Amino acid sequence: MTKALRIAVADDEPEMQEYLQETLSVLGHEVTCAAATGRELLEHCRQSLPDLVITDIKMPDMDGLEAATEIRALQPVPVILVSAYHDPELIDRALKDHVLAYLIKPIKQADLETAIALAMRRFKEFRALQQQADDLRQALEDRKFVERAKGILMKRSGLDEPSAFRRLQQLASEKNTKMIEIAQAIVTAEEAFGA
Amino acid sequence: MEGVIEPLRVFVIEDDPDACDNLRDILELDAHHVAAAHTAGTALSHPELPQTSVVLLDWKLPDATAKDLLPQLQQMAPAAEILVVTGHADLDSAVAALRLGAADYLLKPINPDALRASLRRIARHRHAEALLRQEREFAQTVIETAQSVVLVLDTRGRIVQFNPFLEKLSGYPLVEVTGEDWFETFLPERDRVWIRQLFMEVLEGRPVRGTVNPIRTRAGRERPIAWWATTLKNSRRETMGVLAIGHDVTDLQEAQQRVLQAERLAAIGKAMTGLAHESRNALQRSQAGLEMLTRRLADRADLLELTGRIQKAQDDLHQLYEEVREYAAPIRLQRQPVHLANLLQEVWDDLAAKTQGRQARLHQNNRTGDLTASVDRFGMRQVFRNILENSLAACADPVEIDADFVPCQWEGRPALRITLRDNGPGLSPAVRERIFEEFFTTKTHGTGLGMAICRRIVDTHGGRIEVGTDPGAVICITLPREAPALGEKHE
Repeated sequence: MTKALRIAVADDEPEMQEYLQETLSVLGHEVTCAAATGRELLEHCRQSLPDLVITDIKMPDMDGLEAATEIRALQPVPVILVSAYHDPELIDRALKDHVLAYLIKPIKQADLETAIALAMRRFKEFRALQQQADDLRQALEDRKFVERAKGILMKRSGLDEPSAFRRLQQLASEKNTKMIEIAQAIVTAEEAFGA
Repeated sequence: MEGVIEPLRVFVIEDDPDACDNLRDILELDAHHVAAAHTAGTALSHPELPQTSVVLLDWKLPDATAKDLLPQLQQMAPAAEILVVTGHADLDSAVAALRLGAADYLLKPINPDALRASLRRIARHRHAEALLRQEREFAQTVIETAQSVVLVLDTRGRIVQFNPFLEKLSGYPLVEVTGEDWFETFLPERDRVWIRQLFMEVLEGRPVRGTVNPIRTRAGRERPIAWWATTLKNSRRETMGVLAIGHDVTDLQEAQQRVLQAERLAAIGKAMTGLAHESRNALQRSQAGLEMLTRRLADRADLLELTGRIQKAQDDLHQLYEEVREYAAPIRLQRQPVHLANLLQEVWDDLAAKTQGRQARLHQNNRTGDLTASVDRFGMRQVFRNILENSLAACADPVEIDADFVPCQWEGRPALRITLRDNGPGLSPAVRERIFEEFFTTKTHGTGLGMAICRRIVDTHGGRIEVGTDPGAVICITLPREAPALGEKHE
C-alpha cells in the first residue's frame, strides 16, 4: 500500500466530496481539502501544497483541468482526474498537462486505490527523471565555468592545459571548497579586471 | 407521286384468254408482277397465289362461281385484296361480292384508269396498314418487354389486359384472370375501397400520378407499386376503361426504410449518448452511497449479501450503458498496420480471465503469409472480443474455436478473410437473419448491440461481416488490407 498521502479533492457534487473523503481515509490517506470548485481547490493548494490532487473536470467557475494547470505552476504535483466525460480530446489535453491518471465515473474504491498507487509511482519516476535532468544540466553548466577558468589560467600564467587543471584542483583542496566555486571566482575576477 | 404506285403482286383469274392478256399488259406496263389462271381450279393450285397481294377475279368462271371461290381465295391468300370483275348487267353480284369481303369491283370492259385507281387505293391502304401494323408491333413489344406494369381495366374495373411483367410479378397468368375484378383479385382487402374510389376518379378524368399501393401476389406477398393511370378512349372519344402503368417500388421502399431506420438509430444513438453520459454522474452517486453503506454494514453479513446484489445490479447497469454509448459513439478509425492473428490472440488472452475454470481453446490455423491489414486496432479488438464472448456464452465446455485467415480479393482490392467458427449449437436461420440487428439478442444478459457494433466497425473499414452455416456458429469477416481511396464509396 502507498504511504499515507495528503490529498486535496474537488467535485461539485457534495455526495462525491463525502465519498472521496471517506474512501481516501479508508485507504489510509488524509484529505486536506474537499473543494466544490476549481478556484477553491487552487486557493487551498496556494496555502498548502498537497501530495496529490484528485479533481472532477466539470465544475463551476474553474474546471479541474484549468485548476490543475495553475497548481502545477506553483509546484509539480501529481493530479488524478475523475470525470463523467469520456472525450478523447479532453483526455489528450489532460495528459499533455501531466495528469497522471484519468478515471471515468462511476469509480469504485478499488479504482481509486490503483490509480493513486500508479500516479504516485509515475510521479516519483517523473521527479527522478526531472532531478536527473537538472543534475545533468548543472554538471554541464559547471563544466563550462571550469573550462573558462582553465583558459584564463593558461593565458595569464602560461600554463598548459593539464597544469591549469591541476592548479584548479590544488586551489580547491587548499581552500577546502569545490572546484566549481574556484572556477567561478576566477571567471568573476577576470571579468572585474575587464580583460 | 399521284401516278406512281408501288409494284404489287397481282393474280388474274379470267377465263377469257384475250381479256386476261389484256389485263396482264396493262398491269405489267405499270410494273406490277402478274400471274394468271383461266379456271378456279388452276388458280387455287397456283404456287403464286399465297404470296399475292391483289386478286382480279372474274365473276363468271367456267368451273366455279365467284361466290364460292371468294372464301377459298381469302383462305389461300389471306393477305390479298380481291377485286371482282363483273359485267354491267351484274351489279347485284358486285354487291354480293363486296359483302363477301371483296375490296372493290370493276366493270367490264375494264377501263385501265379505273383499274389503276383501284390498285392505287389498295396500295395506299396496304401501306397504311403496314405502318399501323409496325406501330402496333412496336407498342406490343414495348408493353411486353417493359419492366413496369401495364394494365388495362374496363369501366367497371374488370381486367381487360396486362403485360408479362405483371404476370411475372404477380404470379397470375393473364388468361386466368381476364374479366375478373381487379380490386378483388389483386389488392389487399384494406386498400380495396379507397383504390376503387381512385379508379372512379380516373374514369371521371382525374389521372393518378405516382400513388403507391401494393398488389398482393398469388403467393400472398405484397409488392408496393407506384401507379400512373389515365382513361382509355375509343375512336369516338368514349371512355373504354383505364390504362394504368405501375412501377415496382419494393427496392426503393426498402432503401427508404433503411435510410429511415438509420436516421432513427442515429437519433436514438444521440439520445443514448447523452443518457449514458448523464447516467455516469447518477451511477457515481449510487456507487458512492452503496460503498459507504457497505462500509457501515461491515459486521452485518446478512445485509452485506443485499448490498452485494445491489452492487451487481449497479455493475450490470453500468455495463449496459457503456455498451450503448460505445455503439452510439461515432467511429473514428485510426488505421495502422495490425497483425490480425496476433491481435486475435491478444484478445483471447485478455478473455482468459473469463475462461478460467472453463475448458476453452482457440486454434489459429494457417497462420502463414501476410496477416496484416491497415485497421483500427481498438475497433478490431472490439470486433474479435464480441465474437469470442458470444462463442464462450453459447458453447458448452470444452469450447473449441477455430480461426482461419485467407488472403482474398474484396471489391477489387486485396483483402483478408477471417473465419471464426465454434463448436456450439450454431445459429438458427432466424438468428442468422437478425444477428446484426441492433437490440437483437438471444442471451438473457446483454443489450443486443455486440454484433451490431461488430458490423458497424467492419463496415466502416469498408469490409463485410457475414454469418455462415455450419454445425457451430460461423462468423466471416472480410477486411480490405488498405483504406479505400478517398471518395471511393463502399457498401
